[in-house]
Amino acid sequence: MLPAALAVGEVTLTCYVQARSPGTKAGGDDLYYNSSATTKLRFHQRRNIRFRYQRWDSATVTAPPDASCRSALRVEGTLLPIPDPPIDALSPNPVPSNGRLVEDLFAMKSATPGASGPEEIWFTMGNFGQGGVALPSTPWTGATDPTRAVSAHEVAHMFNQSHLNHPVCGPNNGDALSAFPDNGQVIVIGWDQWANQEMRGATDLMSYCWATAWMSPERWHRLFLKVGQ
Amino acid sequence: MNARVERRRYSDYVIVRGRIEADRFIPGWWVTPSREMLEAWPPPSEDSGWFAAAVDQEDRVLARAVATVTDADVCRTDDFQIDVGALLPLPPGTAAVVIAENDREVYRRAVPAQANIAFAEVLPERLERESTRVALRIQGHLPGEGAYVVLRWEAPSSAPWPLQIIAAEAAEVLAEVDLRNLPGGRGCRLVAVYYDGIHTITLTSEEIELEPRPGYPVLILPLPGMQFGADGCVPLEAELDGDGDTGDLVWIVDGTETKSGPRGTLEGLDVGRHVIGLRYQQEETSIEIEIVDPALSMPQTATPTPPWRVGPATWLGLPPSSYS
Repeated sequence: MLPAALAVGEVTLTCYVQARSPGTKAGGDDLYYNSSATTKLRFHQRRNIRFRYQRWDSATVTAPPDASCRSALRVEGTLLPIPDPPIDALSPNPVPSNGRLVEDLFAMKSATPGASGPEEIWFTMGNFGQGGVALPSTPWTGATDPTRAVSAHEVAHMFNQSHLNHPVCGPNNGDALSAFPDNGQVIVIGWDQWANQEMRGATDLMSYCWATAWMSPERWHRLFLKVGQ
Repeated sequence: MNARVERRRYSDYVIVRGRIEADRFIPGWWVTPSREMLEAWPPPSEDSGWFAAAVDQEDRVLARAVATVTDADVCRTDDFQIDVGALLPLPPGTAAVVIAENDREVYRRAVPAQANIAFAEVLPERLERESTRVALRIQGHLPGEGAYVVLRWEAPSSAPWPLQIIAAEAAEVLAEVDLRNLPGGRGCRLVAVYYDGIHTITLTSEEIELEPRPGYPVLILPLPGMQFGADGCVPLEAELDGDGDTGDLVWIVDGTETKSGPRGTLEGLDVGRHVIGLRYQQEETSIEIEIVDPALSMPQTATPTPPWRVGPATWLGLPPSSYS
């Protein structure tokens, strides 16, 4: 994993590989084989996006844990073609549900200089299972629950990504699975850097297969073009 | 407290919003769009049958905008909502905004009379870190439907900090502002944005001093134990948790002040272990990294061609010839 601070401009990346063959050298010493490869990489300037969130609760639904909200947004940020985003909680936190939390956030966002465009994405966050929404009439403002799958899915909506229909998971109001590369399956192996494990057998994050949702190369490419600089 | 008022009463546009429930139009908060929103607002993809119009006193249409109607799932649930939004120009002479479905008017909001907004009480020039009650007085008209106030806090060392939204339902609007965790220092301002239903009026306080929060250096990069090649560079990245100037962060390499500011790079460190410290005023944190020489760490004792290309092979499982 390359630190973000180094991923700027043109970078020369050299990879050294050393293989050790124990005891195979004359005299019983270890034998070493060395190899290296060098390439130049050019990193494109990307838009910096700040996440702000406000948890909500109601008489029947408790607020999600604050740590879960931060974790979901932090992990989501690594799935998206943006630098690691700053994450701030809005006060009051939590706020009681009033049936118009997204509208409230959108009005507040509109009244905050420097925050009204895509440089800031604001979420009202309900507890697990409350789902999410991102509407065209409240740009870069939405609702999510504290899972990386739903929050990344909603951010993708904000950047003009439609649903991907899936016969098992749903939904059925989006793009046809057959029209998407690899039928929406993420063929490459993802790397979950926060859980320090591979992500195999994943499905593109715009379907409703929440347990296996991951960024597909095609989706990343489409978002990369939409997120812009 | 003295305050300055910036009125943007004759805004050129309004974003009208609402949702449809049981064939009724339920208005949401309307907003004055920023330049970024104007540039990014998507054109309606098709004629939805819904539109917003700016009309004059004689009901003549001065401007018209096709509304985007979105039948949106609430992802992961069985809920959905039908959302209506339009970006409507507001030409001079606009007396009302009308929402209509085809030729059927479903909602009308009159342009309110001119209003002023002021702090009802003098705020002290220095505020304590506690909850403070702020009263705002709306003068010129009683707030109508869809009127609201957004309060925000502005501090020199921080991005603007939204505080709360309050429905404006009377001439006086009361807010409880919690100052305990806000960015502080000299030159802070409390800003009230009054939205009268169509237009925006902004009230900005004079400078307020709020006791700064203590600042703590947060070392982001390098991470403890990271290894870097001697022929490369070590990235430095830090944040300040609390109030203060990140330019006053000081990087200390092996006990020597080396650089200042939130980010930079180190080059030319000798091979071996080094202590990278970060100091802000009296607070300091440090980690240890290692500089390695790739050439030395990988002994050149072998043939350059690895054996898996030339040597005898041992198959694990079936040999490749049986893969067909």
